[in-house]
Order: sequence, then C-alpha cells, then structure tokens
Amino acid sequence: MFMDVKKINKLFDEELVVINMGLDAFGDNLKKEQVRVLLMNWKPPAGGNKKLISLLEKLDE
Amino acid sequence: MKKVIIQKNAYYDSVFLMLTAKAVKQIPDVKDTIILMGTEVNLEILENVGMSMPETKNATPNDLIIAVEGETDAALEEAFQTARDLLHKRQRQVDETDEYRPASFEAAVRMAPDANLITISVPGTYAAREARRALDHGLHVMLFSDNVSLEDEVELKKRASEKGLLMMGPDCGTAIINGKPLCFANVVRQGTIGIVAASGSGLQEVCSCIDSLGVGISQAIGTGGRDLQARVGGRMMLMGIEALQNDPKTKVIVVISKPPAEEVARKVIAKLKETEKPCVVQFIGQMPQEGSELLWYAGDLEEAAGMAVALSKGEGYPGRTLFLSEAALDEIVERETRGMARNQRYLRGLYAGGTLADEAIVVFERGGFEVHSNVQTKPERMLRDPHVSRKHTIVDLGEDVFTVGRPHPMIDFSIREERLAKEMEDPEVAVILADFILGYGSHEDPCGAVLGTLGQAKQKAEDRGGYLAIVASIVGTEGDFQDLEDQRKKLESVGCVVMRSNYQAAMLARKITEALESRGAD
Amino acid sequence: MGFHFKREERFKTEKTGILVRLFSGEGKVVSVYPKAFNIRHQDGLLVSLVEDATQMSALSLHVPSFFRSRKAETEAGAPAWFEKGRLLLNGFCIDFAASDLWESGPAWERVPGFLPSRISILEEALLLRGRRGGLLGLIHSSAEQNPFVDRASQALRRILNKARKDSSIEDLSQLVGLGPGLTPSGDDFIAGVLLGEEILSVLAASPKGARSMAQQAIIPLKVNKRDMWECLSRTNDAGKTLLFQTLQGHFPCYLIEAAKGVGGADKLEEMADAVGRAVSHGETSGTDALVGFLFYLKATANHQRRQ
Repeated sequence: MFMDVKKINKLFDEELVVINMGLDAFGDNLKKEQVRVLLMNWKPPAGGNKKLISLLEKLDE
Repeated sequence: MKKVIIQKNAYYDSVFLMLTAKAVKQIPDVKDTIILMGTEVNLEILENVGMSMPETKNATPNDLIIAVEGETDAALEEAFQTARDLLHKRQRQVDETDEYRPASFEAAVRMAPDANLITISVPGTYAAREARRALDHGLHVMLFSDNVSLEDEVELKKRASEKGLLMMGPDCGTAIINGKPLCFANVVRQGTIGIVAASGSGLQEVCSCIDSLGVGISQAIGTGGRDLQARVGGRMMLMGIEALQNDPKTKVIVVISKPPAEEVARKVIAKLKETEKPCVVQFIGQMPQEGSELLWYAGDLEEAAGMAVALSKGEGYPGRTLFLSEAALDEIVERETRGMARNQRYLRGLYAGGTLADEAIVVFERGGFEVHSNVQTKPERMLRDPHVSRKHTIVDLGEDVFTVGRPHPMIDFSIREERLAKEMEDPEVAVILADFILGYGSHEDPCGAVLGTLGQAKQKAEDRGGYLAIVASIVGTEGDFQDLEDQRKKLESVGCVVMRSNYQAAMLARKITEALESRGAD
Repeated sequence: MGFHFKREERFKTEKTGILVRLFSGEGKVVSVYPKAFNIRHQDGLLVSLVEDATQMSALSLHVPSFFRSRKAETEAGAPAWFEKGRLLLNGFCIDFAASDLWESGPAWERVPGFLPSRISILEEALLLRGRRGGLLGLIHSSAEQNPFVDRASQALRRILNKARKDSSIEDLSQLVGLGPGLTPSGDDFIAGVLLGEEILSVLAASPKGARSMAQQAIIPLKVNKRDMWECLSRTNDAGKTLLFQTLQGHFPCYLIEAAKGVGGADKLEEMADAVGRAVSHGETSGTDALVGFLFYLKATANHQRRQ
C-alpha cells in the first residue's frame, strides 16, 4: 500500500493550531499547555434533524 | 453586488473590528469588505471605491459602517449574519477573554484559517460527517467520539490515507502530538520514543512507564480501538509507523494493540521490519515471540516501555527495573493474607482502562486462573450479568453497558463506587484490583474520590473478621496536575498497596490469590 | 438625579487625568471591558476609568480598586454624572477630588534628543514592526497600500508643499476622521505629528537641547492647530477625545513611553523594541501615531536642510 505521509511529518514540525469541536475540557486542556486552540460552540447541523442531515451529506459529495 | 449595514452609536474596540473584517473576508464569494466609522472623510472614501449606498448618506461619525461586496446574495447574507453575530456577542460580553465561539465547521475554519488539527468529540451520529469535512479541508483529525459505524471508520481512514492525513479514531481517547495532550493524555517528557497505539489506556500506561524511567517520547499516535480489525486493515497504524520511520526525532517505534486480526498483524510486523529503526511490539495477550535485533516482542505494557527505553539508549534489555525483589513481594503477600478469613479467596478487578483490564486478565490466565469478565473473549467466561461478579472477576467499567448516560469512569467515580459497594458485601472477596489514571481529561483527584469507599470496604471486611487486600496502580507522571506522589499517599493512607505499573499490580494480586488457594488446599 | 449610591461604595482614584476636572453634567457608560470603562460626557468626549496605569491619558482616571470590586454589574447604557471632584455611576462614586494628577506632557529632562540619524532607524523599525491596515503605507510603497493611504498621501503632499513656503504645517485637518479603527487612523497620525512637535519644542526649551538643535540647525515646524479644532466634529467620539487632548499638549501614556523609548534608542534593536511596544496599542493606533511622528521629524529635518 503506497502511503504518502509527508503531511503528517510536516505536522510534527509545525506549531499545533487546533479547532476543538465538542467537549470544552479538551480545548481548555490544550490552552493550559499553551496550544493555540479555537473552541467551538458546536450545534448539530440542520437543527439536529436527521433527514436534513443525510440530505446535507449527499450535497457534500 | 454591494450591501451596507450600519450600527448606530458604536464603541467597539479596533481589535474587534479588525477580527470582524477578517471573519467576513474569509467567506467564500465575498470580494471585499470595509469596516469603519461613518466620519465625513470615510464616507467620501466609500464613495470613491464605489461602496457608497443610500443608507450611508445619513451616517454620522459615531455610526459603524460595514460595507460588503460579494458575488452572490447568499454570500452577502452570510457576511452580514456573521458580522451581526459577532457584534451582538461582543455587545453582551464583559469578559475580554471570552472569544467568539463558532457553531459550525465553516465558521471555525474561517476564524482559524491556519488550523492544522481538529479534535472531535461530538455525538457519534454527527461525528463521521464532521470528520469527513475536516479531512476534505486538509485537517488532521483526532476523533474521540465513539458510536461511529465500522463502515464509516473504513471510509474515513481510506479518505485520510489518500490525503495523507491523520485520522486518529473513531473511539480514540489518547494521543500526544508534538508534546501536546489530545483528549485524555499525560504530561510526558519529550524524547525519542515514538508510539502508535490502538488502545488509549495502553498508550497512557506505556508513556507513564517510559517517563518514570527518565526517558521521553517523540509522538504518541492513537489509531482508535478497531484499527487492527480485518476490515479496517490497520490503515492508521501503518501510516503512523511510516510517519515515525520518517521522523528524525524518533529513534524507537513502539506498537501497542489488542491482538489484531491475523493478516493485519502480519502487515504490521512486515512494516515494522521494513523500518530501519528498532521496534517494540505489544499485542496484549499474545505470547511474546522470538524477536530479532531490531524487533522485540514485549510480554506486557510495562515491559514494552522497558524495552523501548533500553533500545533508545542503545542498550540490551536488562529485565524489569520497576519490579520488586521476590522476597519483597512475598513479604507483601504474607502481610496482606495474614488476616484473611478462611472463606476469602476471590479477586475482583474494577478497571476504568479497558486495555489495563485486558492485561490483568492475561496475567491471571497465564497463572492458570479462570477469570470472568464483561470483556472476555471466551463465551463461558463472559459474565451473565455484567453488574454481578462471579468468582474471579475483572470488569472493564468503561464499557458501554456501564457508561450509558453516564460519564466515563475516568472522570466520574460513581460507577466504580457502586461496584465496590457491591463487592464489599461479598465475604468471599479477598482482593480488589484497580487502576487510577491521572492526566488531562481525568478526574482532578481520582484516588481521593474513592478513598471513603475504599476505607469502608476495608472496614466491612474487618468487621466480618477478615481482611480485604486492595492493590492499585496509578497511571501518571510527575508532570500531571493531580500530583502523583500525593495520589499514591492517599491510597496508602487507607492501606492500599500501590504498585508501579498495572502489570505489577496484577502480578501481586495474582500472587495473593495463589497464596490463598494453596492455603485453602491445606 | 434619578439614581442613588451607597456611601460605602466610594472608590478613590490613584491618579487623575488633568482634563477630567473640566467636566460637569450628564454622561453615559458606552463600553465596558474587564480593565477599562468608557463614559461619554454629553459634550461628546470620552472619559475612561482604567485599572492599569499604562492605559492613562489626560482624560482618564486610574482607579484599580474599582475594578477589583463588583463593577461588572454596570452595563453599557448606564447613566453617569460628573460633578466637582467626582464621577457618579449607578451604585458607586469615583472620587478624584484629592487625587494626584497624572503627568501627561513629557517634561524636558526626560526627553532625549533626536538626531537626524535616528530618523532612518525609526523608519526601519516601523517597517519591521508596524501593523498593516492603517497608514503604514505612507512610509514606503512596499508596505500596504489602501484607499486611506492614497487619500492621506495626496493630502500630505499638498501639506509638505505648503510647509516649504510657510515653515508651518497647515491643513492637517484633512486627515481628521480618516481610516479604520475605533479611533480613525488619521486622528492617531495627527496625534503622532503633535507629539513630534511637542517633543522638539520641549527640547528647544532646555539649554542642552537648544544647543544641540542649534548645532544641527533644526528649526521645528509649527503645526497649525486652529483648523483642527474647528474640524473636531468631523470625527467620532474616540477620535475627538484623542485630538482634544493632543491639541493641548497632553498625550496618552503609551505615546509618551514611545517617545522616550524611541528618543533613547541608539541601535535598531532598541528602536524596534520601543516601536514594538508602541504598536501593540490598539490595532493600528500605535503604528499610525508613529507614522505621524516620523512624518513630522522628517518634514522638519528636510525643511532645515532646504534653508
């Protein structure tokens, strides 16, 4: 299996800049470690309506 | 097309105004935006650049003008919605340190265009879609969420490997990238040992042991628990190994997992052999095999750490350095069993870390014991009711059956306390075995939180004329915020025996159980 | 008066800006931050309460004890009342009657001299550390160009032409209210120009400074302030507040520190440090003010050379 992991090695050399989607505690912990992190106030898309979500997924493709 | 909104009598500070302009400019199909106060000369300039509109004619110097030029109506609408949201939020906030928190992935990447990683811990139903979008956007992903289907996992990992990005998860609880803790993780010294793990608590245990030996890690990549199943094919594990192979800071590679599907195991071993770096493999439960100069098989997590440390120093493995002498162990066993009643004989392991529970089960089974569990692979050893122990039992309290509607036992100790309350009523219980996991994401005082109940359990046994042995290990480092020494002291204050690793704790518990068995045989 | 305060809720200021005592009458809180409050007096000037002395100006009150208390209860829109020696807000009284005044003009002994050679280092430091978005593009075309820079550039060309003939800077009011920011960039620029004028005139008033200037034949250009006074209504409250002070020779703390730092810097590193500290003020305010400061110094130096 051919694997190009250049981007992963690039990440190892960069400063982490993180988006935290979900539990705040994970983002707060990163802040404590001086990581640049953007905490989200994530809400389910389409107001949580499953049917709409699956439609959105089809559109994503 | 152009549009303008005006906010009368606005006193927003300049930094905020600039951030708002930045956020609006990122919106696709927005050509330009100008945000300024409605002074005479600014109105003239708006006119000169063609952004003047009827609404601006009546603007006064204290009015804020937001002018946007966009390709589509939708873009304009989104621009103004974004601006309005930001302004509205700012108006209500008093705390300067409260930043605007975007609610959607699009808004987030607009605000953080240079982001390189996303941690996702939203409910499983939505997680796959968000992870997919993150990958398409070029972000590495840490997917903590579980309840993601196997099909989705396969698809996500395929996508990730095509794009050359990390897809850590689903159900990946632990990773340490560039020395920074993702989700549950300990503060570990930086060094030259790189780890790829399909197990959260396994990763934490190995890191913890490495750190206690005075050595450090370069990267700790999590793959999620199912990565080495046949359908997923070890995709992320293989990518992780490749990345560590290319990483100049990594000198030793360690691989940790539950026993993988056979063909996946072969692929992983083959991959490790390809790397020119020394490697250590620990497939929990698998009997260690004959290795080679550069590929060592460990018998347990602590040994994996010890081997990695030796390899990183270019030394041979001297055997366990964390172990107590046989004599010292025997002394502890004698002391703990001395006061036990005739009918005490059983072990009860109450675990928060799944892999640690697995390891304990392996230790006991290797000693010839039959262990029941909620995570047993042999059907006759599966607990009929996971809430009720039978003979020698080791339970993984992090399993779904226990955590429905409740936080994980690493964070919330009520699950463990409830189980302990049950076990302490059983006069046949001789030894309790438990893990305490420190680090980010865990409870702020894991040992203190159950101290009362542990003390109670000891007391109850004493009241019955017996003695309850409690053996524990603490997964943690001196860098963790819970204060490792203090945690140890707390447990010892109620008579717990604290061992330096899960393997050793399980071994001690086994020795106690063996001693009781042979006593019973007299 | 429509509101009350408890006698216990009195906060004494540590330092008082010299111009605050001018005010009496109604006001309104217009913005609230963890370390600063802004209150708009009915005449359109903003008085700020600050926790940190480095945020002081001639229109500020340094009152850290207020911020340590429960001031967070006050919201934008709350009424305020200025009376002799004190400022009343809903529930509290900020008392500055007996307070020390905050020094808002550079005293001559604290100002180092400005040599022509330092002008080019200042320019370099500003290009290195200055923030984009405002008038940084005036220094060098390599820095960002925008419609504000274009507009300012045209105006400044005319101003310099006139200055050659009149030996004074006229019509700077063309920049009032120009550009982005809560305080428009042009107003910050003007503050910087006025700072330059002030520093050279203070220098000229000291024997040592006068000697140094005579040696280099530096004759400071006079800045005509009258047309700017007349144009205050062309900008918003924040800009007006800044111009009101600087036109009278009172400068906010960060600009005084900047002048001292820049005047005392011999090497690019020191200059860059001083500039770096100044440009961190606001978004582009520090940068725009230093651009104005530099403009004034260059105009004076060039003027002297032409004579």
